Amino acid sequence: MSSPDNTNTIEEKLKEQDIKLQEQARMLDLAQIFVWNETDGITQWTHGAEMLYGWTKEEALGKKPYELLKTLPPKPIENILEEVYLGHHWDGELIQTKKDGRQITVASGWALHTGDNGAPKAIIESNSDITKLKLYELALSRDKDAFEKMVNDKTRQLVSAQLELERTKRLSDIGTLAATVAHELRNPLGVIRTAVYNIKRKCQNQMLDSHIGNIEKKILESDQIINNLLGYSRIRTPQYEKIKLYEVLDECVNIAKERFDKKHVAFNKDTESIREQFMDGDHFQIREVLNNVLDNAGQAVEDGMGIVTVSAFSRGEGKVALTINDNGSGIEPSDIARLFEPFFTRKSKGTGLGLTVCKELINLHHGNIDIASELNKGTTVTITLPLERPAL
Amino acid sequence: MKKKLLIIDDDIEMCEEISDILRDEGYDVNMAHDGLEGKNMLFENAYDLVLLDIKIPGMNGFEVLKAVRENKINVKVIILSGRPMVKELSGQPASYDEEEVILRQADCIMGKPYDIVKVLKKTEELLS
Repeated sequence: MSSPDNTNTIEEKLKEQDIKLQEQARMLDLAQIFVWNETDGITQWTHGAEMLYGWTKEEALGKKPYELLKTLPPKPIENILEEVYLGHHWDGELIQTKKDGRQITVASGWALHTGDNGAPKAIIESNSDITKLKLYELALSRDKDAFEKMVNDKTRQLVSAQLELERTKRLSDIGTLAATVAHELRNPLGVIRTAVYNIKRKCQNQMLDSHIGNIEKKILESDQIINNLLGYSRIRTPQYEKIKLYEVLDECVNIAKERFDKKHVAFNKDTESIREQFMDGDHFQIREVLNNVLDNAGQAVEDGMGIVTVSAFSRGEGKVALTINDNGSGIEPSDIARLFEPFFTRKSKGTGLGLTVCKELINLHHGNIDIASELNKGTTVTITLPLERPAL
Repeated sequence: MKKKLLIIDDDIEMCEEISDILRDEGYDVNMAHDGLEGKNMLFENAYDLVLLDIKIPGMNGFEVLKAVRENKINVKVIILSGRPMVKELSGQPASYDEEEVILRQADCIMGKPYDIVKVLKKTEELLS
């Protein structure tokens, strides 16, 4: 028999415990937790779960949670359950759908509740919404990618600017050298020319005429070499302006026509399609290239048989293409690769600088120059140029 | 009266060859191998025409030409130069533009190696 005091104490203690339990239950009810098993579906649904998903306890109980919440697991539910049965818990991320249709990402923790015999009884699933966190993560990683791309782009621009600078420096060095050499050679050449004139004037001897003629010829040839060398000094960063390629072509073809007038070379033009087209370019440099290529074409053809055709057309992607085709002697296949080498020439009076300069000038315009040729059939030079000056 | 010509060129052989021709053409020819010397001669004597090189010691051809024009020395000027002409070197540094302005004050510009026959013709033309 217990004394009334004892009874009181036990009752009080039970009451106390009851209050504690109730308090714990209320606290637990706030957690976003539900309990379920495969046969009965959801057996417990807390107020927290209701707040999270929008489904009331009445609506949720008895439903399969993955059906109710349209759960998208990282791997099949069966596999997750297997893991839970073996290891008693599983953690991972799930995508679920709330009652209002909104999708959320949750960090999910599953714990296995077993009976006294150790057999699985239920799964306690506790989820917390990490949708915003995931969005931030995504934004951050996007920002990181964008930032990396920006850094890479800037680095590329810097490297390219550096290369351009070095190139400009090198070109201006070559130009200065060429101009200096040209000047220094022109002076003595001038004296020789005048001295020859004086010899001719004073001797009036026909026996000397052919020799003097040869000296005069060689002086003119030397002068031509110097002029070509000066072409090298024209290799410099293009001074861009809006030019009409159509008009530059017209001008150059007319010059060529006149130059090869005695040879009766026919110059045909098919450039109407770019008549109104403007492009960014250095007028002098483009003219230099065209004059050079047209000159080569005129020289390659036979007297009275020569046909040189100049075509121009827009090539898409903001580019314009020019082709200068001749029906001349063509180029030995083995020479093709060497055409742009400095001082490479097969002409008796060539300096081998013409095409070298052309290529440099076209490169400076961020364009391309290609030469295709068939022996005894002719040669086609193709020049592609961007219409707009590319950004660094 | 013989027309008085001055050649200003530091290349002695050049001066000799040209003056030889010009004397035979009936001109009274003097030479200077230095820009300053040449300028002084132009200021102190009445020359009809000067053949002026650009790259010369003392005072360069541009400076001589500038001094002549600024002081209204009455003399025809033919520039003879092996220096790449402005038109051959488009897009050169700014100093070239200033030099081009000065060059325009010359009566004639001829690049080396010039054709002496053309120089003679031009000389005659300017002095007629």
